[in-house]
Amino acid sequence: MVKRKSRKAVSKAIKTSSNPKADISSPVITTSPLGGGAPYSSNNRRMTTLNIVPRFVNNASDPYRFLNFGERLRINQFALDLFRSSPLVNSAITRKNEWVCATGWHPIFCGQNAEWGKLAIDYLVNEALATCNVAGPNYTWNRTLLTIANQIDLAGDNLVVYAPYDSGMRVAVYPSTLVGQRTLDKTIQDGRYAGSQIDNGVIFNRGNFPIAYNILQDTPEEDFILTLREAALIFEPTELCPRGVSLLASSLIHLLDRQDIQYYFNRHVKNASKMPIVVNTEQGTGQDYVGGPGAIEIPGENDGQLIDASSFTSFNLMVRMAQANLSDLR
Amino acid sequence: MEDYTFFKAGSGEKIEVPTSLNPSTNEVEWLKLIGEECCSAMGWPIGLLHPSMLKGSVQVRMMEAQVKEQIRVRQKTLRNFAKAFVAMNISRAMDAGRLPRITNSDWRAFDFTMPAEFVIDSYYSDQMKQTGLRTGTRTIQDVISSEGGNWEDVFAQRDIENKRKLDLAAGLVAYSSGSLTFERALDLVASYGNQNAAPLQSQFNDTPEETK
Repeated sequence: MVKRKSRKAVSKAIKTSSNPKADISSPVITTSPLGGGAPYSSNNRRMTTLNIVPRFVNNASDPYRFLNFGERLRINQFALDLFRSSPLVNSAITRKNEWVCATGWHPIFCGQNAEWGKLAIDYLVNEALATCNVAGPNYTWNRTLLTIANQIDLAGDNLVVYAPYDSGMRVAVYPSTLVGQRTLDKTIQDGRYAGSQIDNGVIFNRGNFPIAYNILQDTPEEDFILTLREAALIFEPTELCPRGVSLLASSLIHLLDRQDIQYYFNRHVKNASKMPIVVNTEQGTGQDYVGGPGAIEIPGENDGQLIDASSFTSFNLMVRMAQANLSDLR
Repeated sequence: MEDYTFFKAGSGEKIEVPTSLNPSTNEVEWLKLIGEECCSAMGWPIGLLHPSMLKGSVQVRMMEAQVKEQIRVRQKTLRNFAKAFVAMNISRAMDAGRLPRITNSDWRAFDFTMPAEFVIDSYYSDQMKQTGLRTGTRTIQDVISSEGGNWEDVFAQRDIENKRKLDLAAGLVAYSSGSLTFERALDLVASYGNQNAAPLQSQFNDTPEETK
């Protein structure tokens, strides 16, 4: 299932990692124990499966395997969707991480040999950290840290792959979805790591210590393994799990509901706000009525015609007619 | 001539502006509540996104402490990676001859300056820093890094400014053909030429030389 790739193949993969594509349709996605395949139901999102109370936890009794790869993937997809579409989520996560690392992070030398330290700082600032990311110079040292921090919030973790060059090292930041496995096997069948335990793409030695990561590529044949010396999975463990969990997981349903409701609120207010009452005056219709898409004639006895204000016997009648029109459009 | 329209009001009728109560205030408040919960779960209180939702000073201080902790935790996570990354770079640079090889632990003795500290009440925070410096519970590096600076850069810049002040003071003495003492000229330079400002020297001498 999983085989070890040569260093050449690994470095090729690192070079092409600026737009890494994992075949996310292949992993087995199990269904919720409550039935249905989706943790969230919404017509707005074209997900018609109805779950009354969606649950992410498939097997709560096993803390080490409480989220399988498919469930993680789904949570991360929604989290990323929210990050890009919800101003609340985007600004909360971005603002926090900007305070964390958008500025500062200038290296300082704390050793004894001050002269050597000056040379080292010069090398770090002007060479190593200035070109620290394989994705190019826009990913400065601070922006790289910011990207990693954002990914920790959104996906729970991300893989930092070390890409050595002549006199230093760069990093390629892999999204969390690239670390995974295509089946729910718990043991690797062949290759260098045959017999080793694997969980959520993390490979363990006999002492249950993580030693390598399975990287998904476009096809199963292209998948490869990175060892702990070649890459580091960065996350903040909060539960007994070899992977991080998205910070949005606990509030995901709330956030999706909130966004849906806000979407329909906005539609309603937009509909309500394009309801002018068209009234004839002696000079003709008012300036607002130009036959544009927003202009609507009041229905009723004079349906289809512009109504002369003098034809109203009372103001309440006019208001009632306007309200009837509003409710027709709801 | 202006046109007037008269409506005949029946008994109990009055003029009202059509209003829509959909979404109702309760619904909007409920949405806010959900937003607050979600923001809290994300570790970034909603009061920081909508300052109009900030409450009393106690809640604000609590929120500030919470946010500082969140930031500190994330910085700690990143620092582990950053220190390892720097150490790997240094070791490769030494291998490649880009840096002189050393054998002691200096090769991994690196840390980082942090961004400016998150504060809501900067005046209060400044006072605390000054107290910390006076009592010795905070260091200059600590204070400068909390404002996003590097203490070595600040000291180097201060060195440049002091030398420049000495040059300017010497220039003033020469220009005044000796009528200004060097100390007085230095006072003038230190107060940026503001004649109304109290000379710095006079803060330490009750009777400055010029007034004797």
